[in-house]
Amino acid sequence: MKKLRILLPLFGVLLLAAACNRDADFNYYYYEPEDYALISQYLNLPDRPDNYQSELPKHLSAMGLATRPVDQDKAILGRVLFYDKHLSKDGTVSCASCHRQELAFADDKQVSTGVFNRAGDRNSIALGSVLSFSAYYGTDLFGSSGIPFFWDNRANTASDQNISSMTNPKEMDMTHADIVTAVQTQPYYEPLFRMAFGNGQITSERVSEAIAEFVNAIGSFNSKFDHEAEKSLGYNVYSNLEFNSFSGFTDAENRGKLIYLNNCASCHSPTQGRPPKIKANNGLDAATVDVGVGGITNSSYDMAMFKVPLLRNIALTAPYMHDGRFATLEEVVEHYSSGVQAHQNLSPELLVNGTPRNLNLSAQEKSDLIAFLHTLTDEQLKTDQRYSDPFK
Amino acid sequence: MKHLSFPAFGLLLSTMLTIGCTANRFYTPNTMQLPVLQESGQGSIRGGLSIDGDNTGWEGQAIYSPVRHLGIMASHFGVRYSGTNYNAFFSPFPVNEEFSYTGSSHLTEGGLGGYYGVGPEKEYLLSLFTGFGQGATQNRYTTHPEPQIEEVYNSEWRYQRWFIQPAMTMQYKRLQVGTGLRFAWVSYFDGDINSRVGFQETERIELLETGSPLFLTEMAWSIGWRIRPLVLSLNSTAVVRGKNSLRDLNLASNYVSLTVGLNLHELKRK
Repeated sequence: MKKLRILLPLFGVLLLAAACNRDADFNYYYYEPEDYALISQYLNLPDRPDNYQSELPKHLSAMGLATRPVDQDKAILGRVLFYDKHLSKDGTVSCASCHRQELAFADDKQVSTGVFNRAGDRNSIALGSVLSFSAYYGTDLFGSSGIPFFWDNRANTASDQNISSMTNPKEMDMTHADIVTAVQTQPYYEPLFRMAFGNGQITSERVSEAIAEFVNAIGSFNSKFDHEAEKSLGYNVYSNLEFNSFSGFTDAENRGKLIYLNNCASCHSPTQGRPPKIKANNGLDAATVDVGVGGITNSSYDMAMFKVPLLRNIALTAPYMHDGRFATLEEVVEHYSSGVQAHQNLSPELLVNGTPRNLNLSAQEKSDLIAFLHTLTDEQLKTDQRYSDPFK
Repeated sequence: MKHLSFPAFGLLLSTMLTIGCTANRFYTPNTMQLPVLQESGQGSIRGGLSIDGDNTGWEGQAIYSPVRHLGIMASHFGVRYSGTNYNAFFSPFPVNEEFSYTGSSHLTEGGLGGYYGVGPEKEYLLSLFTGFGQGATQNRYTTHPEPQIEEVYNSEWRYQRWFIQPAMTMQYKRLQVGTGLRFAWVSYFDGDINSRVGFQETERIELLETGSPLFLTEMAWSIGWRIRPLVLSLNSTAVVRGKNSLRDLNLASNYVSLTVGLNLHELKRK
């Protein structure tokens, strides 16, 4: 019993220790503290970044589309570079100047404005008009089946595209050496490059690679159309698309969907997935004003042909067409309803018996079609922190 | 049962070691100590080992009865593990890289309980013990984003465990078998997590944090061959039911060990 008198109090102490049951309180960190202190002087980067890896809705993944793995550190670095005006000759222009998040990464000008207020050649393409750049863009990912960049399809990869814009005299007007110098002089880049590439060495190739990683990570598939398509169609996307009315759509939106599917989808994609055509002439002018793809291929068959964009977020990306000639969706719809011109390379989808095919839509049909086009807007994209300007 | 020979025991032992040894990163159940006590003054110590590929576990345990029907126990358990993985979407790293991981976990605990022998020679023993312990887990992830560059990330935390375990053991000549349940409450605290280990890994760790304390029901069995005063045993402790999915929490479901015990009271008799 003497032993018991010793043991029981000892066990009591044990119980008391256990009674001090501690709540879980984990400290999570992504950056080393000294790196984060430096970065935070200039940038609003969350101490725990959001996941840049996107998952496609099933009505798109069922088509074989997939996003590629995203390198988190390179995407974060690319985001900073994308918004950094130091990457332009006069320090006034960044990639984001012509690709504004609130406009689905397009701009609102007929043609974009570069350094020293130089006017560009064409309208800014909306990065947010694709479901995810990496889902189908670029020959670096998909070989010859990849979709090239720019209105004239002259760049094969996102890296080619962004280095071309940075060195274009009408856009950012930098040399490769300028790019390296501009980045080296900003103290926040050393830790970001170290995290992205393992060391702080800065090269124009790494700059380009990081921006491409960020752009490839931009995903936009939270539109009303996506939600309804996923809910209504699932994996039967091909067989049911035309016949199903979406329960969450208004009558006007459902009527507009049918008009779209019967008249527009053969070029712009019925599911807003991969566009069926990568280039077309849509009858803007009877004569060639801008050679477009033909200027790259030197083929007469490509003259005045341009990239066929997806129509995701189309309501956000006015003005429209490669030259920004249409200020509103109403003007665009009117063009296809009554204004298609007989160009020699006019797309077959816009021809009937060798003459331009105008849709001749009624006022109600035009209104319905536009109502449907508004369902392609992803409101979440406009404010998604992952893609926003990180600079203070 | 008395015909159970040493070769048969060896075959069973090696078979079980081959299929059962599992060590995982976030929690591994240690070998449950199944008391074999009949009188005051009896006690035993034992050491155990578990080797399965890149996972190695070891432990030391002691139990003693200071007064009849009352026992105290103490144990220390450690496990080390390592491996490599390569998968873009499901690895701790978000890029298409190979990475290696190493880690360790340890737990020190003590307990107090009662036992009661039944049968003509008290060869059947019923027991109920409760106890408390504290330990830590550390994980270390290494990747080479470029051939000459090595990056290392860590996640580590401490944890406490409360347990209540009813058990039953039986001794028959050279054979010693036992089985028991352990109801365990595992609380995590003081975590320091580098979230660059990846979203999926971090999400699992967050599940540990938010789910803490985890209630786990563990079941153990042991079969031993007695060569007085030694006992060579094969032991298995398995998590049979938990509040959360074991896979989601990255918990080991089973731990199999080989232990060598020394019955101190039998040593005295010699």
